[in-house]
Amino acid sequence: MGEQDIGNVIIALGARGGDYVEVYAPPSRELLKVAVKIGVDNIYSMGLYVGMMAPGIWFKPSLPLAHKLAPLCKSKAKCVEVDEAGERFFLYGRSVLSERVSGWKPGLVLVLNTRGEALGWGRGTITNIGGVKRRLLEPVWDLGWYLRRGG
Amino acid sequence: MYELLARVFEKVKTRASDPKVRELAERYGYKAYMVARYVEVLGWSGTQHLLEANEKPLTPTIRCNDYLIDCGELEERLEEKGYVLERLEFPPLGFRVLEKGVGSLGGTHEYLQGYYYIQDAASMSIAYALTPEPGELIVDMAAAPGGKSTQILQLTRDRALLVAVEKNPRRIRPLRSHLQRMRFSRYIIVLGDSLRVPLPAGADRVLLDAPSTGEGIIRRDPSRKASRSLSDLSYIHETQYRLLSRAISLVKSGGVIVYSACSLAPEEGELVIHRVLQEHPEVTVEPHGLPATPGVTSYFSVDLDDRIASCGRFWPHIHDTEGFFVCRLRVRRN
Ligand SMILES: C[S@@+](CC[C@H](N)C(=O)[O-])C[C@H]1O[C@@H](n2cnc3c(N)ncnc32)[C@H](O)[C@@H]1O
Repeated sequence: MGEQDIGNVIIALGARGGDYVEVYAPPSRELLKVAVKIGVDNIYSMGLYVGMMAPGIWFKPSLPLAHKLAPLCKSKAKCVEVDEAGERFFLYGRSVLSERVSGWKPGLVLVLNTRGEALGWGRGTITNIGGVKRRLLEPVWDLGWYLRRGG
Repeated sequence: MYELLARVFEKVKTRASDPKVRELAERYGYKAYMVARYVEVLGWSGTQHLLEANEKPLTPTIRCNDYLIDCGELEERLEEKGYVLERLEFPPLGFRVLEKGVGSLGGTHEYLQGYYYIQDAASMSIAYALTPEPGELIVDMAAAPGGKSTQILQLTRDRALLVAVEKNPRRIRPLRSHLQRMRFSRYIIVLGDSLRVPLPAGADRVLLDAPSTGEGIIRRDPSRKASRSLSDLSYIHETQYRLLSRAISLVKSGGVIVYSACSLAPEEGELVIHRVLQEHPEVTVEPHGLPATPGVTSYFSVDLDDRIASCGRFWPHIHDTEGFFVCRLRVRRN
């Protein structure tokens, strides 16, 4: 079996009984060939899970993608870092105040803890709390999902 | 019913009516046919030890994911949270959790990062018998919730191509979740029946961790002492035999199959292997390399294929694990 990376192939699998589509990147040509033999209709999941698309959500990046991209935080990716208490809140699926977020920025961000480990995806928002405008980090998809919803 | 099984069951029934067997079964809450079989394999004293061991809940064990983290570091991080861990002698990446710390074992941040899997020590030994290698095509025919699937990719550093099959749509969710949590990507999860779904032929290795009566997990689920009957056992034997026959058709010549079952029942272990060896001259048994006791070769006056001694058993009262049967097979076609 070859060890070739094929990077640019994307597979979308329709979720059974749902109206969303899951997007995968098969890591090798061999994997793709085997998938074709099995038949896409029989496949539940394969390769790197990149994210999902659903009505109303253009694209929601996945947890495995957060881990894949975390090494790029030092250079290219848009990332923030939360402190220990912020990490706990975030993994419970709660918003984190910007005081606990280093490098807070608006919009979609990759969220790291102080060890540089990916915790998932968040969104920097500005919200009115009790008449005061607060900058928040809202969870988009956090690792706590594995516990709450992972199955 | 498989003729050999019918012969065995007649003798099991006779033994089960022995007052001493019935008394023991009643004392520990088992169906008498189960105890009758333990007495046949272990003798009276061994049976007592087994029944006593099954009364003690298992100490939780975890498998460190050394694909992502140094296991010493994981140990330190969990100990900082108040966990007390002890390394298992075997398998190498296993830890016994002597004391729990803050939060549940399945809810620590280390768990969410994919740094470990909660798994019994016998269960985490099975993948070693498969000796998976990078670059190989490997089929796991009964994969959920993913203990062994994740371990196959861990042992190959996510460099094998794993086809993980599961027929239960509810159980397939945790399978996917564990593979993703532990950050593997060289897998295809197939939702379907391993007996029928199209699967790639010519696999280098096939794991069949077969559906079973669960007689080996009484320490986790005491209801198994009395929830199954001899006819359930016969049904599950037939399923296991058919699945193993499909495994043989999937593996390439020279390829390896590991058959395992979390059961103490020879009907789900040795008798399945015996039947396959009788019907498939291209299949042989190979040493599995695990610290297990030998497979049973004589059962209720039925002599089984001698090669079955090279299969293995994990016993709650000997290994302090779940009860497990394991056998490594090699297929060579002319
Ligand atoms: C003993 S469990 C496997 C445990 C798993 N290997 C692990 O280590 O986590 C057996 C699994 O096989 C599934 N199963 C039973 N019959 C099957 C079949 N014909 N095809 C595919 N999966 C099957 C069951 O739903 C169950 O999830």
